[in-house]
Amino acid sequence: MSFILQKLLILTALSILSIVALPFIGMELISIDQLLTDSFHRDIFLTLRLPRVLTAFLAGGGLAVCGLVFQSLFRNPMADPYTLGIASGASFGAAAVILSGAAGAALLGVPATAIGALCGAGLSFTLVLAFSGVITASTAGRRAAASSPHTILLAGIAVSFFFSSLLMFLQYMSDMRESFHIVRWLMGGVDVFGYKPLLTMLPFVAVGLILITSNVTALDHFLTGDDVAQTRGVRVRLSRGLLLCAASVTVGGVVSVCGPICFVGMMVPHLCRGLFGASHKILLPACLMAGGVFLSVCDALARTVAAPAEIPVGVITALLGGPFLVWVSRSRRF
Amino acid sequence: MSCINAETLSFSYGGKSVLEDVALTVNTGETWAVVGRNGVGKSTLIKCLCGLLSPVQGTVSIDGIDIAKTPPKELAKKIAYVPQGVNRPTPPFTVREYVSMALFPYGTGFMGRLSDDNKKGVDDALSLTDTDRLADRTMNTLSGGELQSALIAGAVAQSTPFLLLDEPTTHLDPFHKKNIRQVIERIHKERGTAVITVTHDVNFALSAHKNILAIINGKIFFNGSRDKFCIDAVNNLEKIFSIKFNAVGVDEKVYFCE
Repeated sequence: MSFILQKLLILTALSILSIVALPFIGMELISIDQLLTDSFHRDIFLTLRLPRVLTAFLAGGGLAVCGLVFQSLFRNPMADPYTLGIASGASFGAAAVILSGAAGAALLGVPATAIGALCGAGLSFTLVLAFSGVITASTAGRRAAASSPHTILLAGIAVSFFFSSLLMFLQYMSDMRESFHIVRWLMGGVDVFGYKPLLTMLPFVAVGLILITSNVTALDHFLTGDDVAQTRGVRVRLSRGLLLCAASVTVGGVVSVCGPICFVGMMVPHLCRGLFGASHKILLPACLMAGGVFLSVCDALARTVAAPAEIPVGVITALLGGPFLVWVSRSRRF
Repeated sequence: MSCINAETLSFSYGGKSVLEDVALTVNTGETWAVVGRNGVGKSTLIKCLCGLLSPVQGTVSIDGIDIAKTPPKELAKKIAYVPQGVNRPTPPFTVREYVSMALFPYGTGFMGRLSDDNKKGVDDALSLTDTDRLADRTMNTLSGGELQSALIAGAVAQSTPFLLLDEPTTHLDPFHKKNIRQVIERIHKERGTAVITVTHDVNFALSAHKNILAIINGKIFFNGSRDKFCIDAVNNLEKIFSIKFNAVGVDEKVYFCE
């Protein structure tokens, strides 16, 4: 136990370090001296680098926690916002907004693409739940476990393909400029300007995380099987519905600002399980911090590797994700 | 003393009738074996008893209160369920973590805090089921017999007056089988827990349980004490399993074999 706490402490130190140190790194290194004396560099640091690192940290943490929730709920190492169709729904929503020419508009300060993405995420998620019978009423005599993890996963994959093809259709119908805009959005990125995107995302992630935290013991139980969970007093359907909603709200918030950033939600929980064991009371903060560190470091790579050009951070995470999948298939933790 | 009571219980999976008009009363302090061929509705019956399945007709009540109207956490303080050990998901919890999780219905507050008394229940459950030596092993490293004991330890920690076991000895070797039988006896003797075991192992059913509920095609064939069952055991067994049985006597003990 104390060994795990030690590791958690190290992770906390790493988180603080990455938030403090990474804003200095970029196309051009900023020295502490420059930060204190030069107003040009201070502006870059405060309005570009710092919000960017914070956005990356929050997005990475949020995605990792959602990945953790999905994997445990479905007892499946492949479950993440992507396999469940939420990300493709969000992408479709954003693309639809871009194509309608309303991409520049905003509602209450939230950009239209973000609203489109949120709606898309909500729509695809509702479809997945409806298809898999989570929200359709159960009648007496039906198996209590009608909404088994496999059914939901299959529904997620089906919905994901559906929205992906709709997205391809939209792209095909769009002109060069719109098409490029859509493609760039699909690559995912945290290149924000100022703190507004961070503030757009924060309430979603915060609400999601609070709901997930309040159900953290139920997550442990889901890993041992729905039947045992239920006979131990867990309201299986209610808890699962609540956790799914919480995770989807979080993903929706993150994707609406950063676009679909793949594999963070799949990789980070796996690494954390290896380091911290199975208890979600430990895994939850661990994933939040590890996801944050992971994505902010990836983003620091993205803005330095090909400097002065910047690579979308989604490209880096996806590049790491491929080999990682191979590794997962060789080491089973479920 | 507590009492679980099933009345005119019927259940069907998608139109196919599985249980028909089953009635059963079990008091604390009793041990029951539910026997029958594969697919006659044994597991379905005990899933109805603990609320995992809701019957098409009839009710299950504990101390006169319908379990369908009991909040899940309250129900979890009354009745514990141990599923079949094979093909279970075995997450990398340590055995101690797994057993501790059974205290969920006793937790209070935002994150489910537990009192020290509750926590002591975990150690008691581990020692009663002889799993204290496994406490720090993770579930995915246990053998079949060890896993079964760990699953039972979890249910014991739930401190319920009723305990349901679904085929606890299937796939186990004679050594672990005997171990499970001793664990059941200890739970029954030291806690007065009513144990209801689903099994198709005739000798295990008759040696470890004082009462027998035999099911043939979803209907109750026999409901009563072991002694009454054994008056005409060979005939009863033949009707239940549709094959001939022989009684073999060894050192004043009687065993039944096909």
